[in-house]
Formats: sequence, C-alpha cells, structure tokens
Amino acid sequence: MNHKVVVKPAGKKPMGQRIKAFAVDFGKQWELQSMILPGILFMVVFCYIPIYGLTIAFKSYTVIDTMSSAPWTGLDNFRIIMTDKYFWESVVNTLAISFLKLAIGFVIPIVLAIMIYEVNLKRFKKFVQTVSYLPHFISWIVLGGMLITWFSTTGLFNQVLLELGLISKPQNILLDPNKYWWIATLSDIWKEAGWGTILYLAVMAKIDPTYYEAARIDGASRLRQIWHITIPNMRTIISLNLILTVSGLLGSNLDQTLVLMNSQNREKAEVINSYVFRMGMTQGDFSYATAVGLGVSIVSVILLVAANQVTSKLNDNQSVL
Amino acid sequence: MNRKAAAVGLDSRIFDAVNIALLAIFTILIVIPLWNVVVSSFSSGKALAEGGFVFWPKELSLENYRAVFRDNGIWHAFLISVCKTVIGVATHVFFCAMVGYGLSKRYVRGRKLYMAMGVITMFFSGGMIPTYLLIKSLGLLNSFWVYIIPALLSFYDVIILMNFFRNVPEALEESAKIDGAGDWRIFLHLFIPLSMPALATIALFNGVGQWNDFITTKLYVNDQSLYPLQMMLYEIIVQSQTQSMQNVAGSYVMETTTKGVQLATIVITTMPIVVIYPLLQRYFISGIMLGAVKE
Amino acid sequence: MRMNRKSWRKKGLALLAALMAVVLALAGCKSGDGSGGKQAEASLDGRYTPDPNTPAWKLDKKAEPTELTWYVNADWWNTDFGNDTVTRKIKQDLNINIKFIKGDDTKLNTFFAGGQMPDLITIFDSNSPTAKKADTWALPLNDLADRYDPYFYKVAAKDTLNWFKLKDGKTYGYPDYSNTQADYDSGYIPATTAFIIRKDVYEALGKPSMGTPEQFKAVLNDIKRKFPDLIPFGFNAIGQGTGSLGDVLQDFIGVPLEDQNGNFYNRNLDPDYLTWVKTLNEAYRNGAISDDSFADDGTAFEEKVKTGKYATILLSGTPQQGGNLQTFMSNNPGKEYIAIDGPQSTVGNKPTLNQSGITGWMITYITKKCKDPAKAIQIYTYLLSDEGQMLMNYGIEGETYKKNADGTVELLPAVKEMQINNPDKFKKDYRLGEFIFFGHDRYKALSKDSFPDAIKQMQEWGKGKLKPHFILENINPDPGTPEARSLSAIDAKWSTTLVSMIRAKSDADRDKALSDYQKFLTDNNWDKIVQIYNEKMKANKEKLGLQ
Repeated sequence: MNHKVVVKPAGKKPMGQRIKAFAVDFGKQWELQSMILPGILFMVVFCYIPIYGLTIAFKSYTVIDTMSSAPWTGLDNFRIIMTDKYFWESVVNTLAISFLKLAIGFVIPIVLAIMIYEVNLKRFKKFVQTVSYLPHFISWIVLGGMLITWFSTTGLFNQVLLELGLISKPQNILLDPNKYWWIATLSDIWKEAGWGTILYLAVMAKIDPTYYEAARIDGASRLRQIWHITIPNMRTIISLNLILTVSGLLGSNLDQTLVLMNSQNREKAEVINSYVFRMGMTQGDFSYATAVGLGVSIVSVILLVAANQVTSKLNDNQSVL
Repeated sequence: MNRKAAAVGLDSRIFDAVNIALLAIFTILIVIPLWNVVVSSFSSGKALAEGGFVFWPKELSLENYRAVFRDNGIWHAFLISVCKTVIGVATHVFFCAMVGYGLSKRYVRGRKLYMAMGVITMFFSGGMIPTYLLIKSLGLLNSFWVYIIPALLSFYDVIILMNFFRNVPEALEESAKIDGAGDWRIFLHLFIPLSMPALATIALFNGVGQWNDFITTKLYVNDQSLYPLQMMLYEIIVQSQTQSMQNVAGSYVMETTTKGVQLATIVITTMPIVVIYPLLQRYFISGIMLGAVKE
Repeated sequence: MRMNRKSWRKKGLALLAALMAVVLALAGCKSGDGSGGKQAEASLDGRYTPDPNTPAWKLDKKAEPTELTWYVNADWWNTDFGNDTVTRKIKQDLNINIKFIKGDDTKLNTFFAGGQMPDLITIFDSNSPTAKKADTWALPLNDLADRYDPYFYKVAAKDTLNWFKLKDGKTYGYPDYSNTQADYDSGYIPATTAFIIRKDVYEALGKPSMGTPEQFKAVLNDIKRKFPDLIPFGFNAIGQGTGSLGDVLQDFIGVPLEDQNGNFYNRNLDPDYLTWVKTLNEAYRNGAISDDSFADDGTAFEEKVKTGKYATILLSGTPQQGGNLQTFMSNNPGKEYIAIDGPQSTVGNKPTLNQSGITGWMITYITKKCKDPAKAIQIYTYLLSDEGQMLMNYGIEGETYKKNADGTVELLPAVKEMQINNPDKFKKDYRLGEFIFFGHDRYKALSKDSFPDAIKQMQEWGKGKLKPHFILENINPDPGTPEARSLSAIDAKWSTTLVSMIRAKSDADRDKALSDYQKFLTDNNWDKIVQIYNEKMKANKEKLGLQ
C-alpha cells in the first residue's frame, strides 16, 4: 500500500498505459485524494477564478472602470515603473530593510524560543512566554506614535543617552535618514520576536525528552545539547520559515512606513509598497499598483524556488515543500 | 563519572542563570512599553496629551473605555466576534489539517501539481475587485458565512501542518495500517491527537487573525448586525478622528483623544487572547508521546 | 480486508456526495450579475406638475416612501438615518428612506465594476476620473431640474453650477461649502488660519510686534529666554506636505497667485517667501524651533496645542483645532491663544488667506441608475434651501433653536447644555451640523455658537484678509499621466527641501537645498507641468468670466 518501488523500464510508457497507471494509483489513494481535492476546489474557486484581475496590470484601470471598459495598454505600466528612478530607490530601501530584518530578525525568535524552552521555572516560563507575544497586538499606528514621543528631543531615548553621557546634545533620530533602516528593523523585531517563538516552541514540544537524558548522562553541556538535539529537530520548520522569509524580501510593512516616514528620512524610508501607495492608490490608479504587485509576486516565487533548492540540499535533499 | 556529572551539573546551573538573566532583561524591555500602553488607556485625555508619565497615569480615568462601551451594539459585536472566531477556527484547522495530511504523503499522485498550485496562491492574487465580484456571485455578501468560507484554507498553514505530520514516526502508521485502518481513520484517530501542538499553533494564529480581522467586514458587509468587535472599534476610532476633520458646529471639548481610545481598543482586543492563550499552552508543553514506539 | 474495502467505499461515496453538494451549491448560488435598479423614468403622472416657484418636494403627492441608496466615499461617514432630529425631519418632509453606504475608492470601484450602482454618490476629489467623467455614469442636474424641480435654480449658486460644467455644457455634481466671489465679499466666511500667541507670553513681553523678520527673530529669542519650558514657534504637522509653512505661510504674507501676465507663478520660489524661509532658518539656528516639530504627526501636534506647549503657532485650520484650543483655554484662563498680526510681507503685499474655494469639498451626484431621479433632485433643492440649511445646522425652530431679535440664531439652553456635557448623546439625538451635504458657511455665520469661543477672536482677526484662489483650483495634471507622476515626485521633493532649508546648519547649506530643488524641477518635466497649469488656469478664468 505504501512506498511502491517502481522499476521503470527505459523510455516512457505509452500514454494510454500511463493514464491507466495514474488512474489505478489514484483509485488506490482514494482516501488521501479525497482529503486534498476539497482544498484544490477551494483554491480554484477563491484564488484562480479571480486571478483574471491581474490583467488590470496590462490595462489602464481607474475607479470608474469595469474589467471590460478599461483599455489595454500592454506593457506600458511596466515600462513606466521600470524607468522610474525613484521606484528603484524604493527597491533599494526595501531590500536593505528586509536584509537587516532577515539577518537579525530571523535568528532572534529561534534563540528566544530556545531560551524559553530551556527554562525550568514553570511560572517564570509561562510569564515570559505570555508577555513576549503581547507587542504583536499593538498596532503600528499606536507604536509609531509612541516611538515619535520616545525619540523626540525631550523623550526617553535622548534622556537615557544624555544620562549615560553618550551624547552631549539631544537629537531626534527620526529625522536622520541614515538611522532609519535600524529604527525600522529593531522596532519590528521588538514587536514580532515574541510572536515568532510560538511556532518554534510548538516544534520543540514534540522532541523526545529521552534524548536529553541520554546526552546529559554522556556529559554533554547544555549548549551542546541544544546544538545537537534541539536545533536539528527544528530543521524543517526553520527551513520553511527561511524560505518564506526569503521569498518576502521585496515586501515591507506599509503601516510601519507610513507612520515613521517623514520629509527628512524619506530617501531611506520609502519602500516599494509605500511608493506604490502614493503613486498608485492615491491617484486612483489601480493599474499601477497591480502591475507592481505582479512584478513583486513573480520575483517572490523565483526567490522561493531558489531558497527551497538551497534548503533542500541542507536537509538531505528533502524539500520542505 | 562523578566529575563528568559534576561538570555537567555546574555547567547546567551557569547556563540556567545566564539564560534567566537574559530573559529577564528581555521581559523588562517588553513589559515597560506594554505597561505604558495599559496604563495610558486608563488615563484622562488631558494627562495623556501632556505625556511625561511612564508607570502611573497622572490622572486616572475610565473615559476612554466609556467611549468604547458607549454603544450597546458592542456586546452584540462581541458575540459575533466570538462566533466567527470559534466556528472559523474549527473549520479552518480541520480543513487545513485534512489537506495537509493528504499532501504529507510523498507518494500521492499529482502531489507536485497540487503543491505548485498551492504555492502560487500564496503569492498571486487577482485583487480586491474580482474577489468582490466572486463573493457577490457566491451570495456571500452581507452573510455571516463570508467570515467562514473564504477563510477555510491558507496554504501556509497547510505546509506547516504537512511538515508536522511528516514528523510522526512511520512505525506508528504502519502498525495502524496492519490493523486495517484506512487513511481517514489514521488521520482522525492517530495523527490529530499526536499533532496537538501544531494544531494548537494553527488554531492560535487563525484565531487571532479571525478575532482581529475587520477588512472582511469593511469590504463585504454593510449590515451592522453582522459587525464584529474589531469593526465597531475601528469605527469608533475613525469617528473620533473625524471630529477634527469636519467643520462640525460645536465639536467642542473632546473628552477623549483619539490616542486614548486607540489604546483602550488595543487593551480590549488583546484581553481575550491573553485569557485564552494559557488554556492553549498546555498543548505546547513537551509531552511524552502516547503509545511511543520503542525502537 | 473485505470489510475495509466496503468501509472505504462508504466513506468515499459519502465524501463524493459532499463534494458534489458543495459544487452544486456554489453553482446554484452563482446568480447572474444582479440587474440592480434599472433606470426607471420617474413618471410624474399624478404626482405633481413642476413649478418654478415652489420646491417640488412640497408638491409631490407620491404616497409610498422612496427608498434610496446613497454612497459616501469616506470611511468616517455616519450611516445612520431617521433616528435623529435632522434626518427624521428630512425623512418626514421628503417621504424618503435613505440607506447610506460608506467606503473608500476600492469599494466605489466595486459599484462601477459590479454594475449595481447606488442612487446617489458623494465623492471628495474633484480631480478624479470619477468626477471628470461624470457624464458617463451620472445624470445632468440641469435636465433633472428642468424636468422635475425648476425651483432648484433658485437655491443653487449659478457660479458653482457653471464651475462644475463638463464639456457637454451640463452640470453633474454639486458640492458643499462652495464659496463664490459673492460669498467672499459678503464677509460671512471666516478665516481659518492665524498666527497665534499665548496671551501670557504676549503680555509679558510687552505686546511686541512680530511683523518684520528682525522683529520676529528677536521676539522668539526673548520667548526662549523668558519661557524656557515652551517651544517658541510651532506649526502644523508636516507629514507628506508642508504643514503650515508652505502655501499657508505664502498666503499669510500675500505672495501673488499668478505672475504679471496672468500665468502660473511658482510661489515656492518667490523672493519675499524665501526671505521668510531664511528667517525661519535663522530662528531655528537660534533654537526657537524644535526638531520634534518636524517629526511629529497630527496627533502629536494636537497634543502640543492642547497643552499649550508652543508659545506661538502659525496655525492652519482653526476650527479643526477649536476643541483643543478650547480645552487649553478652559484649563488655563488668562493664557489662551490669541491671534496677532505676525509675519508680514517684506515688499508690502497684503495677506491673501485662503478658505474653501468654489470647488467645495463633498460633491454629490445622481447616478444614471437612480430609481427616482425626481426625488433625488428634490433632495438637492430641499437641502440647499434656507429650510434645509437651517434644519441641518440648527434643527427645528422652537424645538432646538430660537431666532433672536437681532437675526442671530441660538441653540436652546437644554440643547446647548447637552452639546457641551454629553456630546455623544447630542450627536445621536440631534446630529446638528453633521449632515453637511450642500452645507454652507453663510448659515453657520448666523449663530454665535457655531464655533468654539477659543477661535472667535482669531476669526475676527481674519476678517477682510481673505482672497479667493479660484483660478488655482483643479489645475493639477490629470491623474495617471506622466506629468502627474512627476508632480507627485516634485511635491515630495519640495516637502524635503523646505524642511532642509529651515533646518540648514549654514546659509550655504540652505542655498544648496534650494538649488537642488530647482534642478529637480528641470529634471522632472517641470516646463510641461507649467504648460498644463497655464492651460487649466485659462480655462478656469473663462468659467469664472474673468479677464
């Protein structure tokens, strides 16, 4: 019933036979297929049917248009975007921030999850866990407002730095374009690190504790235990998250950008979706936004496939997908 | 042996100490701003505008909460939120688990095609207008089911569950099959109980998503009796912002600042999740596998 | 094994049946694209005969109430109808039931794309394709008025109707707060910008004048010395624009609206204005302007106003800050903000303060799919008439307001009390001043209660300083064109440039910022944009009957 080892003769079987073989297998896997097919049906209805909306990218579509009334403009929208110098500046900013978030922000939830997992004091553990994910629920509008207050010249940040003697004059770092990437990254990490541990903790919950006992008896230090037991068991989920994060490199947080961006840091703060928001949506130009979205999606899929290849190799050639 | 054990013992204790210390710092970094949020929500608008306090409001006031609870409709909205979250999560988790289980078997025919189709849906979307027209033609506009049916599947969740299912030792499945169980039976009676942490995680993610979602309402629902909590809160915030927008005759002394109301909203929305999470937590505690197979 | 196969089959069949049911259900639910309201020609047989001297709603004998859907393109619109004084009377008098729908551009598009149009639509952007192509989806008001309600011409402003004419010579939309030249001349329109200073600060310094750049700087320095806890100079949040330091400041010192030949004039490069920008820069270097002011968002600015953190403010939008200014005043008597003359032109120009122009704010249309266009135009007439305007602003005479001997209007004490002490109940029960389609400042001027006390002196100060900016309305390039995109980039650049100039550490830095901006203009189609500006200004002047 399970892993059939099929020895295929050289050359492909004729079509008729292959269809028959497929149908036979399909029938045998009937129950499994019956589990998957509703999902496929769902995707066809809710994702693939509306996908004709992507054609807006090749038209000139405004608020009063219907799908048929909007005129075709072919690759015009793409041409406009590709030749727009400021669009490419926003791409640079997007990639920079995403890379920072990947380099720092990807590892932190893993480390944090391990730290929480290793704690033996039950109440402390529960407390830290609960507290850690709460920032996830603060909206960027509120968090942004808080950051504006803290980074002001009379705010907490400057006060602390003055006390520690690190600076002589208070400075509002939100006005400094060069600091923006760090502000965006670190504030995002603060907000999401705790929430990111949940998935990892769920994985770690399934690790057989006897492994740790054995390692302890063998004299392994805690760090070694983590390195040789905990982390390998999280390989698949880390790979999965890594793939998805890499595929999302061209994305960014619009809410965060809109609230932290100002006239002084714009050159480093404008990211793809805030730029598109300004150029596309506020002018009622749906086509522009759709075209950029389509381009970003295509690149994201390419990144996904590439990342998947890389992680598969590291996972004994087993793809996470 | 003794020296090794002793060394391990010491190393273990140092590790614990450092670990706890670092976590404590981390916790403080989180708690201080959070505490500020909670405490600010109980502050009067005036004191909030003046700012400057960190740990205790200058002027305690329930005005922000009163602004939110003013409308009696908010209790009905709360009910709608609970319903859509409970029903939505149950159906979503089951649906995704079912699909994920099927896809977890690498020998399933057509698997590569299914995966490709699924991954594409994670990145490509037709956009809001065709989706709106679809929802309309399905008769889901202004219906409670618009919260449930379009939310049945998330391919990301399917992939996560798929990977969890793969981690279940084959031996367990083999022995079940020898006993004559079919795939459905194995799925329902074996895999689901064994994958509680994964299911609980997906339930949590989806639950939070359902609880916080108001975009679905904004786009597809006009009937106020179907408004969930978040939509009502969103309206309250937007309404208090428009006071300053319109030339409203006599929008005199605003008792509540928008900020105060927003903070109260966050506290109100987060409260149920803070309450529910500890209940789900027991699924995350490392458990010994039921009927473990002795290698 | 056998038993297994049987159970498999059972399960399989059950599942198949379920799947089929789902598919059938979906297919069944797929109703065709709903026809919605077909355009019904409202026949007036038996209802009434139109009379140019009587509003049609008074004559209409239609028995059953008309149900109308009205879409407002704003998230914040209050969709209630019929439960408060104002809308209850409207419901009664016109025999209608309005179902409001609110939303944003995406929602608006679903109506166009999906084919189920509401009966009336209100939008906010006169430059959008929605407004510009209104002839494709809306009914011309002229035709409707001629056919169903000629009294409309008595209450609608001719200049406004003219302004909103499309290429076919017909008018489709009508706005609120549309001010004509006559309105500006009447003096009923209050100014909404002012240079304000805290009274205690003003008096402590001996009521100094701040008109010239030197005086301005000197006084700010004094403030800094004498009141170290206050920020000497504040302004509206910059955000993506220029706060109150761009065209608001230009209007304050009276920078001309066009050049001597009647063509477009880039006010941002005006020497008088740049002198003042230089002054602000020098003030900044002296510590009179805080960096925080440039990072603040709207909420942060409002908080500073509410707590009196700024000693002086160049304020745009006095009614919007009315609540905050009132709060500060109530809590700090004797320290309230008052308007003084503030910065003056260095070349003798008079202020040209701006207010709502002839384009107005909310523009309402009657769609081609309207079930009862006669009723719809009656709504316009009703709300535009004195009766409707008084109802909207003040409610019902004797019930919520009374007329004084001197012609002013006053809310009855019980109502006023609720307005101050229980604003939410006030909103719910009375809803005065909120149902603002077709609203107009001329009616607001009738009552002393229309604006909070805190800004009354500021409005007094502004009297006689307003100048219409009609010729500059709607002159931006059409959305979606390359010039529109260039303009968007230019506007963003200007926002950065202005702030950089004010924060410049030296004169050289400031000059460089300005020259960068000028270079940016040439690199970004500026001459094409100016060409478009000139064309549209010319068209505006023709519409207004100027030159």
